[in-house]
Amino acid sequence: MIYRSLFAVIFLAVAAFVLWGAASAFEVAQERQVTYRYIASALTPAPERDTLVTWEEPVQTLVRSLTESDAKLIGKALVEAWQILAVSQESGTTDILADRFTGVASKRAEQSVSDATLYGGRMIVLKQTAKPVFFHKDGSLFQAEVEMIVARYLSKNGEDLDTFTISREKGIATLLNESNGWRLFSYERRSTSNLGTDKVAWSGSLQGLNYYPAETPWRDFWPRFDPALIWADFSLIKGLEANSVRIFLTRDAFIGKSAEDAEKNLISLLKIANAKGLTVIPTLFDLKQDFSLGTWADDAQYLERVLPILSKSPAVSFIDLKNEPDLDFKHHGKAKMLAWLKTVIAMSRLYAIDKSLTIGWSTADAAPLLADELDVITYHDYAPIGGTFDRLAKVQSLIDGAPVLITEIGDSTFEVTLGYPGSEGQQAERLGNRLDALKSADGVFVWTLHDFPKVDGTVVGSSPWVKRLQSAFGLLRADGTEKPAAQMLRNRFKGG
Amino acid sequence: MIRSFCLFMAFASNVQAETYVSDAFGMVPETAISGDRATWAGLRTGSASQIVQPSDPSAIFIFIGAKSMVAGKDDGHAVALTLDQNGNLLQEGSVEFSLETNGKDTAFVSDGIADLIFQPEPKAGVFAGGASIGSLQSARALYRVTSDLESVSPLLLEADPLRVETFETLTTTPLADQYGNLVEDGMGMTLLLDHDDGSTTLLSAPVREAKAEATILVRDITSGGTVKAYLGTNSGSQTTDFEPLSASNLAAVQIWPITDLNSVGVRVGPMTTDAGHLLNDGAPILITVDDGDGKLVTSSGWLLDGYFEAIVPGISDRTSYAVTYATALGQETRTVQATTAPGAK
Repeated sequence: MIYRSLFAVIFLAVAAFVLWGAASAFEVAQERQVTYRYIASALTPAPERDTLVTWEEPVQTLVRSLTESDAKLIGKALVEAWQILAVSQESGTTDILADRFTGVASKRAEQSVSDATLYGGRMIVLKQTAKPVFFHKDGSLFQAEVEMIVARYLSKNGEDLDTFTISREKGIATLLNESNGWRLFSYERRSTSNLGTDKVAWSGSLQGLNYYPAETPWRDFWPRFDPALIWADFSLIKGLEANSVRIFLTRDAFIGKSAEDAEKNLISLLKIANAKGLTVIPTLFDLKQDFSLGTWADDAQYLERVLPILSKSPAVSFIDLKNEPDLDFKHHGKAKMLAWLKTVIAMSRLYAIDKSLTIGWSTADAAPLLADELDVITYHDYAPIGGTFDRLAKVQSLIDGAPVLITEIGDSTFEVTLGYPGSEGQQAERLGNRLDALKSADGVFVWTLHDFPKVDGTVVGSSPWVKRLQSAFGLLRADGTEKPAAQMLRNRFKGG
Repeated sequence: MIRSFCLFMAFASNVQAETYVSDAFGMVPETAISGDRATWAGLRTGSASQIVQPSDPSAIFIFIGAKSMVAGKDDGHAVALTLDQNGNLLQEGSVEFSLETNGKDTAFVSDGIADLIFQPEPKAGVFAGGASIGSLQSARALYRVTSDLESVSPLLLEADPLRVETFETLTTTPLADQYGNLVEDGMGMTLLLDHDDGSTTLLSAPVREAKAEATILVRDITSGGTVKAYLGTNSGSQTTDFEPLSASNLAAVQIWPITDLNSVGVRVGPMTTDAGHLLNDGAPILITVDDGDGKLVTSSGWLLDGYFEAIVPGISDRTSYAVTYATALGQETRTVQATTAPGAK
């Protein structure tokens, strides 16, 4: 009998090992080498690039009036010049500078790229407002007072962020209309002031769920938005005694042609949540994969589109600026990611002045990062249950009294055999234990409402093993029936 | 609380350890800023923020436009871009412009730019201009003043009467604007010939040596009319007569009986014009043969190589006939003796 049991255990262990090995091999086979052709990417015309400059009335009557067409062409040149400089500083190559720089500015741009390569300095222009000062009658020479929001940072080793600034600055931009179009001839900065960093206090107690529809998670959510389904699903969430829902605003859906529809759908979702008595934690920049400096101005445009909507809605409790950005440190460099996050925080303060901000860190260890700039500290806890309480206590002790929420906990019910690696019973038990350990938090969100029949491999990776695990984190099965954890959660949430 | 303070001090210590300089094009450690970069004008922040001012003038560039100005109408815009030796925009100073059409004038520099609006003398041509600041002088820039075409009234010289199958030249008087500037070569004009019979002839007439000229081969034209010359929306007109052709001499007429067919053969020609050539192939001709007994038979056709030949049926054998032929050259009646057919023995 003992031998039989031993044999069975060994067999299961071997079977699991073989399955895991096969999954790993498949994942490797599915790997694609990703080449970040960021120079080409920066030069690819973005649909809104010619509208990224806001034009103001001229300082004085111009000899030649600035037509709408002129404004578009010159605006595009201004935007692309600074994007090309940022890309060149990042790549260390100066070849593409000639596309938008000439004369004095060309030499200075080249020098700045050389210095950036040596010392790690970077400069990213995020937004521009231009006031025409001078326009030659024959349309060959143009000058404007330009107000820009500019992020600068320096990291010698790519890991430590040695310094970071984000400021509103004014200067004089002089452009020449040459055979290949408008190019920046000279730029001289005249004044600068740092962007405001006023924090917005938040208090409350949230118990909620992370949400994607079962059939249209991740990238499919906004393109296939269905308000009737949202209404039904939010009813289910309310039925679990939750008072909040964490949603995800994919970056690509809110940039370009799809942005207008996505904005309408976002307004619709917020109204539904409000009607259901649910607060919303919108999580921005979801599935953003490219953090090259040439994309940051587009990110600023994304914030300018999305945040006014969120700011106006009474349903929005606070705003999660990025989901698990610490997981991108290794690939993109910690210093650049921190600079990007600081940039996003500062830009968000411009457009969401009365909403509190957070970042959804993937672990408790990362939670203290940028805590001095955020209003709410949030992290995810999928680590061993045993340390849950201590991790929360440590974070709370480090962040000087700011509210702390755990915006993702979860447990997969994917089961190969005999409760390995999970089961519905274990899910209820583990989630219950973790909730017990997190009682002192200001809020907890469970991942997720639904199981997902189709898991997007570009989001979670191509490993079949991981995909199966990710497909089964729901409190509801694919057929809509509740797993035991749903009732457990209802009881906990009802108890407060 | 104390632990968090220590943590943030640790972060902050990295930031405070070294001073960094930011300028219009980025950021560098203060200790690493190059001598060249230190001269860039504008705001530089660092341990001590400062506005770097430009030094003395070192370069001046001139832009004059529009590149082509209409005499008496368009203003010109002379612009000087001034820089110091490091490429910084000058913030002050006065620039002296020297324009071939307007002489000298002064403008003040603001953010590197000094400019002057001027109206060139109403004299067409290519002119030069320059700018100077202190002892520095710009390269020469060219600009152009063109005649005021809107003020040109095209007039046509009186033309000879139109004569068929001759080349007729239609010419304008010398074209000049209100300031006496001649219209430049190559300017396209249109001449329109409105005939008295309602038809029109369109001619393209490029301007050469201030005149527009077009030549027309008079053919299939039966009347004179009015010639109009158009330059833009301005036009002038002149009437022209039509002078029909006439025969230079009487055409020979041969007639020979063809008894078997109760017909005669007739040959008329050559039909020559007073312009010295045969009446053109295909010109219509109508002949009438009178057998002397009051019987008239007609036949029509077209000339070929100046001749018309036909067999006219229903005409009896006679010794002489009256033959009438009518062409564009007029109508003629001749009494001719019957002969043998051309080529018969």
